[in-house]
Amino acid sequence: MKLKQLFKTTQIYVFIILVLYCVLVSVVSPQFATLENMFDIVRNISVSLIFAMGVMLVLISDGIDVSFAIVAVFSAYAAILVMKSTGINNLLFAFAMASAVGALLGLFNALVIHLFQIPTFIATLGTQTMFIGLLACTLGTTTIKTPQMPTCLVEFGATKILTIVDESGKTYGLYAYIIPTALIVGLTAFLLYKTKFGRSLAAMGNSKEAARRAGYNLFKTRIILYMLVGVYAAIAGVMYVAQVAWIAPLINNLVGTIELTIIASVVIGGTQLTGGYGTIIGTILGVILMRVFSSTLIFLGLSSSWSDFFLGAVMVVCIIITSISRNRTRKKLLIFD
Amino acid sequence: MAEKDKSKVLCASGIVKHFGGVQALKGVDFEVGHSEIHCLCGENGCGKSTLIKVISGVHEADEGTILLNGNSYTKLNVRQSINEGIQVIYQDLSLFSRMTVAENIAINKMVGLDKKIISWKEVRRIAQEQLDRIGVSMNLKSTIEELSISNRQLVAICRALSMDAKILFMDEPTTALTHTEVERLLAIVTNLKEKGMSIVFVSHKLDEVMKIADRVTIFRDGSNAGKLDGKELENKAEAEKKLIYYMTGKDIEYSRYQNHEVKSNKTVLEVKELTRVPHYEGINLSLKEGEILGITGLLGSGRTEFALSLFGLNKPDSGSIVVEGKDFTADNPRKAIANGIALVPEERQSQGVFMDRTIEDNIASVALNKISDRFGVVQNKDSAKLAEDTIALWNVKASGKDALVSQLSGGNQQKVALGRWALVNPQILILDSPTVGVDIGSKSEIYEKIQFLAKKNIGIILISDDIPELLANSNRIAVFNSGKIIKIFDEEEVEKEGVRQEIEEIIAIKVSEKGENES
Amino acid sequence: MKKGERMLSFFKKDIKLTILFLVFIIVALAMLQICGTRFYSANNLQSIAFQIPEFALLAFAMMLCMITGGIDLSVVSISGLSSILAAIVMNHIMEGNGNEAAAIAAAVVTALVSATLCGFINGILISQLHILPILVTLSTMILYSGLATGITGGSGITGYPASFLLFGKATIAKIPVVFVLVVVIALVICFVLDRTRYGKILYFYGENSVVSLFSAINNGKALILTYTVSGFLCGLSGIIMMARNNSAKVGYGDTYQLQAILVCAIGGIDPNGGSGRAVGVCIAIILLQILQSGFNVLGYDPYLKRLVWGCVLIGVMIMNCFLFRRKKGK
Repeated sequence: MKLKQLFKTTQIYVFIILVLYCVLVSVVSPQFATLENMFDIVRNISVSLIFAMGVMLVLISDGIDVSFAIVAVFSAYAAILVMKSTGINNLLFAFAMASAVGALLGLFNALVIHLFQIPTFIATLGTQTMFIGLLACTLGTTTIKTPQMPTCLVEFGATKILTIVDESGKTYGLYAYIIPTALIVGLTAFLLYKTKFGRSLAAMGNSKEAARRAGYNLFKTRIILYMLVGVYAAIAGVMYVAQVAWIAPLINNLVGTIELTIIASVVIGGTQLTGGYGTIIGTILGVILMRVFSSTLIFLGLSSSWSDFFLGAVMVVCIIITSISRNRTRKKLLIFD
Repeated sequence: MAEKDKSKVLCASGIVKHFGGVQALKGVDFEVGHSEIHCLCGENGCGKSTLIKVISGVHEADEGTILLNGNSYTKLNVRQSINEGIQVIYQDLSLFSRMTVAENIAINKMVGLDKKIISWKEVRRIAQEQLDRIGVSMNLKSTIEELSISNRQLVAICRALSMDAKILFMDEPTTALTHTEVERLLAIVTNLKEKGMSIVFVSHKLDEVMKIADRVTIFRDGSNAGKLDGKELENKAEAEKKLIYYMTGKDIEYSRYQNHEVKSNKTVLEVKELTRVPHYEGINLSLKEGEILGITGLLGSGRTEFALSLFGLNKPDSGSIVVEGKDFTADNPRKAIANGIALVPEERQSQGVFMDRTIEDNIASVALNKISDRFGVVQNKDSAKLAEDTIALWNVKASGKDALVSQLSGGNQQKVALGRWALVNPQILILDSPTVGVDIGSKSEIYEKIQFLAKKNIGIILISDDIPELLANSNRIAVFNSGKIIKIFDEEEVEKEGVRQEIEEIIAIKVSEKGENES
Repeated sequence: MKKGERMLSFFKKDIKLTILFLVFIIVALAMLQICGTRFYSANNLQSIAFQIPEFALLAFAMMLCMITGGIDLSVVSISGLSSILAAIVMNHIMEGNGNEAAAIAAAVVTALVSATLCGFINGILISQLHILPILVTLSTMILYSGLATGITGGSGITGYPASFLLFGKATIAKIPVVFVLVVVIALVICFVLDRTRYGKILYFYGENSVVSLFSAINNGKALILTYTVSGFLCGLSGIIMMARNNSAKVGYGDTYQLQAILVCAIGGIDPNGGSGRAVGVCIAIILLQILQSGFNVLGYDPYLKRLVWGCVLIGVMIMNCFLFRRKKGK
């Protein structure tokens, strides 16, 4: 029963494709299956994975959020400006400050969505646009280069918690990025599977009316959800800034470009766009798949610029496969929509 | 009026409820005794659902008091209602289709306990306990999507039980169930009653009501129209008559319409050995010009599935459909229309008409070719005229062609649905349950129109649950059961005394035999 | 009661457009008041007319899909991919025999055909396999732009014949040719949606696809046609972007993607399908452009317009919410 259910979602196919691909690449290139490469992938997926966790929660509740990238940039930039003007140079403060801003922006999203019953996609599209303008008008758009960055951030971006020296004397290691990422993934899993809040998300994603009748307070759920997603985005934003070690608020590779890509990686991980279903494992797989192509095609002798093409192809194949069994059921049960 | 009686667990008296200017409940009384099955009957819009919502605290009554377990309320909220042991199973069941059985059963209780952290062990324990109480075993890990409708119903019942329900309201619980499933449900309900629970069964199916009710209350137009208790229910035939009288306010005697002679001998439709597994198999039928063929059978007996096949929406596996001598398999509705077959679907609001569109648009949607020129440009004048003509011909009561269909009464919506298909001049018109949710007045108008269309030599297939309706309208009646046609009653047989009983038996007997085999 | 409801629903149907039009007039007059002739100079109006076309076409493409209750997240990807293919073909021919006319013709055909094909694939997946439009176009968005990135390695393709660039710059009586082209297309779309069989079908499908199926409407054909036309419009937009930027590159117009949805929502297209008119979207596009150039002329922070724009969208949706509620609340 359980297995049958699994084959109805894309995650199982993503898993199979991922395994096959990894086997292929390891055979072709021995450089692939090295610890160094693994560490590299872990570092590279951290930011995306945190975004993806937030996106997954929103999708499970039958919503779509496209404002998380600007929330990330907004919060990180605000935190850095505060740190610069107050002289506080503390990593935890950076995270806390950014989280507070992120939560506030998330609260705004929640209010707009709930009070006016606007479709989430359109609502967050509107707030995304507003936040871009708000950022530029309140905090400005001055670029902060590496020398002017709070040093704690730059250091955090380069910190390794595990350093290994190989035979040739080259050093590599596991970046400290894994700590906040693992914490957030763990927290998300706990919230989703073990708490009333997590179950109310799933319930809401299945049927809002039924969730209301069961006694859930959807307003409360939405507020917690969007504030949480705001906090996740803020943390990811700080980590992103720490990684690249400079920030130009509106000229970066986040706002306006990664939103749909992250959503895509969550969806390919089996989370339903119609709400009610999604797994942590699937989402991790989706994010890894997206990353693996862009960092390992080179081992196959292909330019990494083909990575999106492969990702897109995998997505199209997966949605076609999963549609086949669904269409069979549709025909049998005479469902027409 | 309502005396305070200790043996009553629920005693609502003088309940009045307005929605805007409309008075939905005009001071109704409703009592439920301890450990009884109480049926609440009435036509659509009589106030049944409103009363349930008032008692469950979803709506607040404007006037009246509700006495629950000895506590009197004038304003009742959802929480109080639940605490007093009221549980409602709505028609849509309110289940979470992508969640497991266990979670669905335990969810209300978990919310009620307000535990922030979920213990899955606890969830499974609660779920198993309820399943044991009704003596059913089910895989707790299955998702609702994987269950049959009847099992979903049981999950909903278990969920209500988990909340220590004293009074369980079930809103039309049997509409989507097959006969065997209904039997099982009724057995479970009776069993719950014996364990001391009271059940309010909302239904308009008279036979079920007769079978299980200890008492019956009937509403009409937001008022009490009458009630029947134990003794009166003993004489079934008598009780049924009374019930109909209370529900409709009329003594309904369907008189047979004068459609005896099918003038022509020309066969327009011939179905041979049509099979579509698992819906139906080996269907043989024919239809003459101007003939009205009644089809009846339970839900899931294959009647609607068969009709959809004729209309090209359910491709048969084998067999043939011959229309006017031409063999054709309809694989889409366009082909069916081109071959002169039209269908008015069962679900009016979700399949039959565009609810949020105007009457004109609804009519235009099937006649786009008629109202547009060869370049595909729609001629507004033609469209308007077509709409006005149809409204006049079918006597649709509306403010005009620009009225939204959602603002019309059920009967008038159905007239629009019928009228739009009559426009395409079909040779064969399939009507699936055309009078469900239609008021008495419109019903007879629709019957007249059906006769009118038949006189214009259109062959009509009339699918209905309502056997008197079929007897009154049809030349012949085919009875479906478990995907097969068991018997076709010809014109002479339809005329006979006691034919109704015979049809009802055929609908039921075979299936209950099957049920015995299963158990 | 019924009459009142009817009045209200009629009012609601047109009130969106009415309010939008009023807002448009107010903004246009405000511009006259604030910046006067600086805004309404021939030069500025011309530059507005130059900026509208590429985006307008993408917005129209989005609009058609949204009327059916779907969405097309791949519009920018399609226009990017088609312009890159066109650029490759054009440069190839130019290097070969240097025949400008042939190169341009081949490039335009390539762009239109490839874009139409991309849209057709979307349509097939959506209509034949019954996959959610948002899911299909999200996937193909990545696929198409991934293909474009793969082909070009992410860099731009430049160096087109002068006569091709002229297409982006040419004017007739000071009105840009590309603008005239888009106006014609807009008129055709308005006419098709309001007055033709296909337009009616589009709205019927968007309103309720099951009823339209039972009404013997060819749902599949309507959907495929819609997404194919959407693709075609994206291709056209791709050509204009190429000519105006003298370059084809993945990532051009990325911000147009979400903006197109925004413009449709402001223009009164119901994201659930079945309602909204092309006129509304046209007004919304011009409104966006006026605000943008107005802010430019006034020397405001260019991002201020984003703030205003977001507020307008949320405002419009809130308005719809209240109108809808009043209608529902008996």
